[in-house]
Amino acid sequence: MRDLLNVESLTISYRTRDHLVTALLEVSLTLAQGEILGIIGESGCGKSTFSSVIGKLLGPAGVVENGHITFGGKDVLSFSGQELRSYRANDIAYVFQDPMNTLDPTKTIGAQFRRLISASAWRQKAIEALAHVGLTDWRRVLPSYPHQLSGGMAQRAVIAMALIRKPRLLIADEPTAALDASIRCSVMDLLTAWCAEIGSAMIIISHDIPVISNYCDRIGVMYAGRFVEIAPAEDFIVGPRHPYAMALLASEPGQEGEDAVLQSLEGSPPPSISRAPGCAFADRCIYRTAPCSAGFPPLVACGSSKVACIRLGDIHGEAAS
Amino acid sequence: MILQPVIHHWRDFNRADRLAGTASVTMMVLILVALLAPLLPLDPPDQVAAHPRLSEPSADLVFGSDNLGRNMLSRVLQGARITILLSAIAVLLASVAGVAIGLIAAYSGKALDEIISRFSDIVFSFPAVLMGLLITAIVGPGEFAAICAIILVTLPPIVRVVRAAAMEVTGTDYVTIAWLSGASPARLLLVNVLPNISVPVVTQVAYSISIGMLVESALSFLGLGPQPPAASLGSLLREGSVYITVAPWLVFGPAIFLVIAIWSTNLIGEGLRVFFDPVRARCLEE
Repeated sequence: MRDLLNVESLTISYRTRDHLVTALLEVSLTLAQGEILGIIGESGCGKSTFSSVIGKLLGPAGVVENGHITFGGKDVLSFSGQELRSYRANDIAYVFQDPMNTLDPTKTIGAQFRRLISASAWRQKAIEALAHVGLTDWRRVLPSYPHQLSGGMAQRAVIAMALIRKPRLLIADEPTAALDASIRCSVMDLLTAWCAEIGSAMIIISHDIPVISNYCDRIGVMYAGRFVEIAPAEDFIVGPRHPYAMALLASEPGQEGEDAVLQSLEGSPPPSISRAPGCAFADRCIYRTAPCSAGFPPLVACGSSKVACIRLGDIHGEAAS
Repeated sequence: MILQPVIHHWRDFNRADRLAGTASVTMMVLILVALLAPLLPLDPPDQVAAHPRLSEPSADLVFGSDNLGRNMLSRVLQGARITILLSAIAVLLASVAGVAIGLIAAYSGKALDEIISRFSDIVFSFPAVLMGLLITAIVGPGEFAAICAIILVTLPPIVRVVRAAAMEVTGTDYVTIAWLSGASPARLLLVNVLPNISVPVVTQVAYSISIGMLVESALSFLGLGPQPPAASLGSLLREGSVYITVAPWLVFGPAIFLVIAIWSTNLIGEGLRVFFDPVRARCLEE
C-alpha cells in the first residue's frame, strides 16, 4: 500500500510568555492508505498536538520547529490559502470527543449538513449519510436541534458529517469518550466500517485500550512527546514491549484473575518535556539502569513492532533485532 | 392573526419571569402611548395657556399644568417619545457597531484586540455625564449630542460582552469544524459565531437602552439635550424643579414616567437573561 501520511522528525513547541514548551519531539510515523492507527498515552503526552498539527490546527501559539508532514505526496506544512482550505475540507476530517460541542447548538442538523454539501442534492446525500450511521429516522433528525438528540445520536450525526465528503484521513479524538459504554462499540463499528468502505485511513486517539485494540491495525504509544512503541494491534495486546506500554496495559482492569490487584503506574508524566538526553520514562521505569539516562533510545524494530527502549533484550529475554 | 406567535412567545417569556412579562407589557404600553400621543384627545404639548398656570393634578389634568399653563400630560408624553426614541436610535447604532467591533477584536486577537480592548476601557472609564459634557462642547447641545453621548457610554460594555462571548464560541469544536470545512472568516463570524452569542448580546442591549434613557435624561436635565421648545423627560424635570416647592407635580409626572420606563427595561433585560438561560430551558422542556 502507498503511504498516505508521512510524518518526519516533527518537533512542535508552544510559545509561552518567555520560553518554548515542547509538545512533540522528533516524532516520525507513516500511515498507509486505509490504515487505522490508534494512539494511546497519558494526558499531556502530545496526542492532541499530534492530531491537530495534521490539519494545521495548532493555533497561534504552536510552533513547528523541525520536521515535515507529507500527505499524499504534498507538504502539508507549506499549505496556505486555497490549497489549505481544500486540504482541510476534502482530504481530512475530524471527529471530536463531545458531539454536543461539535454541533452548532443554534442550527438544525439539516442546516449543518447543508453547509457541508453545497449541491442541490444535499438532502438526499444527508439522508444517505444518516442511514449509513444507523439514523434512519431522518424525518426526525434533520429538523432537530442538537440538544434534542441523545449523545449517541448526535455523535452518529457528527460522524455522518465528517465522512460525507469522503475524506482520505479521519482523525478521531476520543470519539467515544462522551458516550455510554453500551453504544461505544456500535459507534466504533459503524465508524470503522464506513472508513473501510470509502478507503479512508483513520487515526484514533483514545484512553480506552480495549476499544483501540479491537478496531485498530496498529497502535502507537506516546510518552512525553514521542512514540515509545508502535506495534500491530494483535501483537500489542498480547505483549507490549516498552515498559511504559506494559504498565499502561497492566493498569487496565479486566486482564487479570479475580483476586489480582489492579496495577497502577506510580508518578505522572514529566510536567514539561525535557530535551535533555535520556529516556523520558526512566524516572518511573522499574527496569531503569544507568545507561537509560545517557541518550534517548531510538525506535528500533523488534519483531513486528518498533520500540524505543535500550533494555528490551534484558526485559523480554530476547535480542532486539 | 399575526399577533398569535407574538402572544405565544410572550406567554413563555412571562412564565419564565413574571415580573419581566409584566414589565414588557408596561413598556409596550408606554411606547405606544408616547408614539400615539399626537392622535390622543389631548392638548398639544406646546399650547400655552390651555389651562390655568400651575394647576394641581385633577381628573382632567392628570399631571397638572406647568408655569405657562401647558398640559403636563401632553408634555410628558412628548418628552417620553423623545427620550425613548433617542435612546433606541443610539443603542441600535451602538449595538451594530459594538457587535462588529467585538467580533473583530475576538477574531483578530493579538495587537488589534489589545488596541480595541484598551481603547474601550479608556472610553468606559469616563463617567457618562462627563462624556456628555465633552461631546456637547464639541458638537453643541441637542439631539445629536445626546445620541453621540449614549453611543459612547453604551458601546464599551457591548464590545466587551461580544468580545468575551465570541472568544468562548470561537474556541468550540463546531467553529473549528466549520472552519475546517472551508468557511471564510466573515461567514464564520456571522453564521457560526453571531447566533451563538446572541443571548448575552440581546441582554446587554436591553440594559443599554435603560442606560441610554438615563444618560439622555441626565444630559437634558443639565440643559445639554434637546433644546426648547422640544422637551425630553430630563428637561421637564429641570423645568419642574424650579417650582418644586409650589407645584411638585411638575416633577412627579416626568419622574414617574422615567422610573417606570427604566425599571421596566431593566426587568426585561433580566428576564431575557433568565429566559435564555440554557439550564432553565432544559427544565422547561417536558
